[in-house]
Amino acid sequence: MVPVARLTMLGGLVLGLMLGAVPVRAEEKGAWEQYRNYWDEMLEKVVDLDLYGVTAQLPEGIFGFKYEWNMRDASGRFDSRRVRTEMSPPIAFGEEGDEILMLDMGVSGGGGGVTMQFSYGITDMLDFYFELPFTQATVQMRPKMSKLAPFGALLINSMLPEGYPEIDTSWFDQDGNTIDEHLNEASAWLLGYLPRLGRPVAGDPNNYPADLGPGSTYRSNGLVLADINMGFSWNFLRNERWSGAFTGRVYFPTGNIANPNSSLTLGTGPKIDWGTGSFGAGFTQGYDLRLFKYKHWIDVILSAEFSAVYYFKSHRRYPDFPEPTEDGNALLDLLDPERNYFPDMHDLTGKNYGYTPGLGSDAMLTLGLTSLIFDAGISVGYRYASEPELDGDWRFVNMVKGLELQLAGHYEIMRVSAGINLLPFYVPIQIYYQYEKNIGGRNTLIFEHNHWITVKGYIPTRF
Amino acid sequence: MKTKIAMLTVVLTLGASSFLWAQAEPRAEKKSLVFQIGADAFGGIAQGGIEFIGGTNASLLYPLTDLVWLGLRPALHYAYEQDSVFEATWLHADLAFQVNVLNDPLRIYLLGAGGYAGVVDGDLYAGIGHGFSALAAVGASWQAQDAWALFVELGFRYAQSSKQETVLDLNDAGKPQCTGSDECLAYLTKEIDRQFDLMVFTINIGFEL
Repeated sequence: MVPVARLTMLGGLVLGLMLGAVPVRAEEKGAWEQYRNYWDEMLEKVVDLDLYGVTAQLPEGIFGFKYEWNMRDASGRFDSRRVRTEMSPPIAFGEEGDEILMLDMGVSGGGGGVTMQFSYGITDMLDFYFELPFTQATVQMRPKMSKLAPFGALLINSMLPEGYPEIDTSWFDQDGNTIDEHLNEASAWLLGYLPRLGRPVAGDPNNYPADLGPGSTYRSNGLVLADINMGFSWNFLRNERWSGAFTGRVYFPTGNIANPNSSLTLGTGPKIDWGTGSFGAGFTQGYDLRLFKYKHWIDVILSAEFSAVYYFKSHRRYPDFPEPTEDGNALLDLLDPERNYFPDMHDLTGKNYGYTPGLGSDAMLTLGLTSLIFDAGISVGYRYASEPELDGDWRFVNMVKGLELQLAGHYEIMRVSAGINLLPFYVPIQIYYQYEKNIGGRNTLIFEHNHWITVKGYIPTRF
Repeated sequence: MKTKIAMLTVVLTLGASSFLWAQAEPRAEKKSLVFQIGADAFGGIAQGGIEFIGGTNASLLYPLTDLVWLGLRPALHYAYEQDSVFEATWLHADLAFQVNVLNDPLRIYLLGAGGYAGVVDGDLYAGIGHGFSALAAVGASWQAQDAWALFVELGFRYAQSSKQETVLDLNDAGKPQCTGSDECLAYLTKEIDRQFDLMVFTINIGFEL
C-alpha cells in the first residue's frame, strides 16, 4: 500500500466525522442517510481505533481497491562497480584495448504498468488482499558490431563457405572501428552469421529500419499480466505511539517467461520476462512511530517497512541452439578457444534447466506529514535481489554468467509523494502522486522519469 | 517445491482462520455480509494420475433474503502429481450463490459458483492459462458461538483452462527438425494449445463470520 495513502486515512476519516456530526434531519430517509450514517458510525470507530501510518488496516467490512499507474524509461545500468553504464554490457573478444571484435548489444526501452489491488477488512486488525499487476514495455535490441580488426575480417572471409556473403573491409577504418555509415551493414552481416557460431538470433538480419539498424523490437501491445500475489496483513500492535503490522503473501507465476530464443535475460532477443516464473512466499514487517500528533488533525509519522520474498525453483527451456557450422567452429577455435562465449550447445535444444530466482528483500524508511485533506512524504529505500541459481548444463551456466545479465544486484532509491483525500466530503477516494529516482546501485537497471499516480477507493459492505 | 506449496496453502488457511477465531466479534453485530474461509481437498475422476488437490477458498456473501445469499468466492487450488510435469495451481474468481433450505438449528444450503479459472504450472511452462470453472455443492453451517460458525460443504467442480505456447516441432523420433536442408541454423516450431482440465469431488471445511 502507498505509505501516504494509509497515513491520510485517519485524517480524512476524522474530518468526515466532523462533517457527519451535523445532525441529520429527521425527514431524511433512504440510501443517502444510510450511507452517511454508516460512515458516521465508521468514523467514530476509526477514531477509537486511532489508525495511523503504513501499518493501519482497513476497518472490518470495508472493501478497498487501488489502481496504480506507472511509467518509466530504462536509461542504463549500474555495473558491478556501481558505475552507470549502458543497459547491456558490450561483448569483446581479444585483449582490453586491442579487441579483435566488439559487439554492443544495443538494448534500449521503456514502459510502465498498472497495478490493481483489491483488499478487504476481515476484522479491524486483519486484512486480505489480492493484487493484479500488469506491465507494458517496448524494448529494442539492435546489436552493433562496433569493431572488427582488419586481420579478423580477412580471417573470417577466408573461412566462409563458397557463395556466402563476405565482410566488406571498407565498412571499417584502418583500426577496425566500424564507419558510421556502414554500421548497419556490418551489424546485419554479423547477425546473419551468429547462427553459424551456434547462437539463435531474433529478427531478420536482412530486413530492418535504417534508422534503428538490424535487430528486433518487442512491443507488449498493451498491458500484460505479471505475477499475481495475495496475502493477509495483521496489525498485531497498536498504541498511541507505536504500531506494527505483519503481512504474509504468496506469489504465483502468472507472468509469462520470454521465449528463450528471444530473451533479454539470455541475450538472445528483446523480450523481457513478465514474471519470475516461480512460486514465491514473502512477508513485510512494518512499523510506525508517531513523532508528533496535534489532536486528530495533524500527524508526523516515521514509518519503516522491511520485506523479503523467496522464489522457489522452477524449470525453463533452453534456447534452441543451432550446431556451429564447420567454418564457425574454425573461427571460434581462434577467437574463443575455451568456448566461454560460444559453446556448442545444440544438444540442449528441447531440454530444460532448473531456475531458482532466490531471495529478494527491501527496506523503506518514510517520513510522512498527514493533515486532514493533504499529505506528503519522503522515502529512501534499498532493494536487493540475489543471483538466480541455475541448475543446468555447465556450458549454458557459463554463458549466462558471462553475459552478466543475471547477477546479484541492489539499488537505492529516493521517493517523494503527495496526495489528496476526498473522504472528508463523503467521497471515499484518495489520489496520490509519487516520483522515484535511482540514487545508486549495483548490477541493476537505472530507470528515469519514474512516475506513479495512484487512485484508492473504499466501499462499505456492511450497513 | 510441491510439498512447500502444499504446506504454504495449509499454513495460510489455518493462520487466517486462527486470526478470525481470535478476533471475531459477536455475530449478532453483523448486519449484512457473511464471510467464509475454508480449506478444501479434492479427489478427482479422469485426472490422469493426479494424487492430491487441495487449497483454500473465501466467500463474501450478501444475504439478499433469508433464502438466497449472493456474493464472490475466490479460491486457490494446488494440483500435485508425482512423476509428471503436470503440477498446476488453479486460481478461481467465482460468483456464488447459496440457497438456504434450512436455517435453524443448522443452516443447510445449496451452493452454486462459477466464473473465471486461471491455471499456472510452475514446471516448464510459466504464465497463466485462461478458462472457466463451475462448482455445485451442498453445505451445512453450525453456529458454534455467537461470533462464528463452522461449515462443511460437499461438492463437485469442473474447470477447464488452456494456454497457447510455441514449442519445437519434433519428429517421430522426438528430435528437433531443422528448417534448412543443407545447414541446421534454426529449428521448426509450432503453436500448441495446452489444455488443463479439472473434474473433482470436493470437501470444504471452514469458518463463517
